[in-house]
Amino acid sequence: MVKLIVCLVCGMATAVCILQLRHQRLELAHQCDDIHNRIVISQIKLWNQQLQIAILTAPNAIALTVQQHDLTLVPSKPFVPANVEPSRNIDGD
Amino acid sequence: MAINTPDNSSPSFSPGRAALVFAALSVALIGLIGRVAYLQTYGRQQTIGRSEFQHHQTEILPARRGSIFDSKGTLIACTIQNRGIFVDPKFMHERYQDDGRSIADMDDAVAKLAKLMDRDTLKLAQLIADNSEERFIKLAESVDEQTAVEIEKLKIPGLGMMPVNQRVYPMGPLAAHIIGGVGKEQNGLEGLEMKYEKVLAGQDGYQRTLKDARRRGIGVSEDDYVEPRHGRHLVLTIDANIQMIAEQELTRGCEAVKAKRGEVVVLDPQTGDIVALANYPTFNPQSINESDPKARTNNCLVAPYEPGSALKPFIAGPALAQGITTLSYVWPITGISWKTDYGRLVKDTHGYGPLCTWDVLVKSSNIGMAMLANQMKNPKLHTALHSFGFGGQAGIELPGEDPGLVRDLSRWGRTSTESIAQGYEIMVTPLQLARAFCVYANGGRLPQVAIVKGVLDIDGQIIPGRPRLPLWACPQVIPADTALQVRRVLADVPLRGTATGIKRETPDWYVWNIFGKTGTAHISEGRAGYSATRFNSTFMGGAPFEKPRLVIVMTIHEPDRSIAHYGGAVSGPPSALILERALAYLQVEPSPELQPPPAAVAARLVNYKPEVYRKPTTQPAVKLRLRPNTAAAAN
Repeated sequence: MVKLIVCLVCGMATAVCILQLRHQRLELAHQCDDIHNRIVISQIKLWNQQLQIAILTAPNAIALTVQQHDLTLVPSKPFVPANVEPSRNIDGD
Repeated sequence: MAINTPDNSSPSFSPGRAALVFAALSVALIGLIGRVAYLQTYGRQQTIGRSEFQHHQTEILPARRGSIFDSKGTLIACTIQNRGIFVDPKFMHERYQDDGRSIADMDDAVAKLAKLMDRDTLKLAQLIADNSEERFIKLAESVDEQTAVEIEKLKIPGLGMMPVNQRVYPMGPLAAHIIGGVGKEQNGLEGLEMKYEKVLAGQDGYQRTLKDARRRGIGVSEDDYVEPRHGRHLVLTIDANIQMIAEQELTRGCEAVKAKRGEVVVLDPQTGDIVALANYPTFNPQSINESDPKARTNNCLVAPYEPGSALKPFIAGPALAQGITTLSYVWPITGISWKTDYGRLVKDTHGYGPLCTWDVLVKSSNIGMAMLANQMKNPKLHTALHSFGFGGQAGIELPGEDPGLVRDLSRWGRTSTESIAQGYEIMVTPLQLARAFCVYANGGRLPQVAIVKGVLDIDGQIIPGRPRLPLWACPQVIPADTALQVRRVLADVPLRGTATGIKRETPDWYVWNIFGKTGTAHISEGRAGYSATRFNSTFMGGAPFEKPRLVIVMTIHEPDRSIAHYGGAVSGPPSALILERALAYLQVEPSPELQPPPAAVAARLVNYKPEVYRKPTTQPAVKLRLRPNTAAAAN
């Protein structure tokens, strides 16, 4: 009788362990799926941010802003002839 | 004495009843065995399929189309991912019933959804109610990420989202004719989007997700996940800033003279890289399907035309190289017309009298050039034109390039020599013209043109798309000293030739020495001859003269003759403005004063004044005759 009870208890314990492991496996798979989804969403957000930066820094957007705010842009270097060789002349004949 | 009687209360065994029960059990067992046999054989696939549907969901993981960058890394085209919204009306109804919620609750949720999606509540509720037995109804093609998050928060059962790719052009219509555009299925329809479809498109992946009873994702096994292979990124040779400048000035130039259309090509003569390429009118690649097909045509490549006088340097250069003439040789021009041996009249706009070869180019004399072509003879003329690449494709990566037309020598007629000398009986594209003009800017070599620098690899390195010849290996069309000679002659064109409009109308004309040639051609009307009122006005030029960084060709078709129609007045000033703005942006050193022509030539020049080569000490006032007073808005 005692042997039967021990067998039943061991069997039940094994079943509980197996169920628990199965549950953990599913939990991990779920977490993995969740992390993957979050990576994909982050990637999408990154692409969107890249687009926002591109829209705001596009040459035509900058030109429009400069025009709207009536900004006067000056060249970083003045347009005065530097120490360059005179234009080469050519043989006319 | 007690008598034992039988116990009538105990049940008696009935063989008939037992047989009935046995038969019933047997039938049930046979039924079960049959069902098992069916499920294991004939119904196996169906059962597996149903189980798959209930427990798994397969999703396509769309590949991201590759981006397109300019030469400086500015993003021109990219793909973002939005969400498409769909609903399973049957599941939705069942879930609301199972959870003990009323129809009013469902309507309330649908109202919130409609508000977020900016749709009519009643129509949306009606759509779901009318399709209550359906399993899939698409509610929105594409919603942005923020709206998608708000919709997710509603937690409406049966409502699902799927990733949807959307192509975006952050610069709007800029470089539209280069980029092209994509259709609803994200496939390239025009331009580089079409030509590089295989490189840009990538390959979709998929994932098979295990779902619970409420269709929530539990997990994806490794075998059930195939990663999407995203498209590769393309790097172009164009510079977005110079492209913008070119488009702005082309638009202003065309609008100022009420032209029908216009094209501009800007090249780096040292490499053959296309720095800018634009057409007027243009379109927005974002709404390519709604755009006018005519506006989508890239006329820089596909619409050859007769260039008129812009062709003259390509005849004079080889003639000088072959010793057929010299710059100081004086042609016996006597008036504004000259009769050929067979009686054809060749006319000039102005009667300057005898002109040396230098002035034949600067003043663009048809008579002088016709005399030169006659001296050169047709075979040499024909060879010269082919050597500059006319009559063959320039070899750009964009689709649909036209080779133009240089007729076979055997098909040249009696009038061909004089016609070709004036830039008729030959068809060229603006791209061919720009490529050929590079010969005078880079020491006599015909460069290979390209608009695609390469494809970005995973480390950010640019992998060239096709092998390209370095300049030193490109064909030497004319000797370097002849190229310099012609370039020097052409530097006189904006100062004392046919493009003095540049000096009048561009504020920084004196900063860099510009060389160029104008062309004004009557438009052919087929058998009716040439139109007296419709013209193609061309300017091709480069700057700075000392070490050319950029070469430009601008063609404006059918300007309003009452405003202007000569190439020097119509296309010259906008071209010079593009060069000046682009050189300022590139921080190119200003040019020194141009040296006057050699004495042997100067003595033979018409209306020669050495002071035209002196630079002003203060910025001269300019009269913006052909430019609108109001600054045109940026694209």
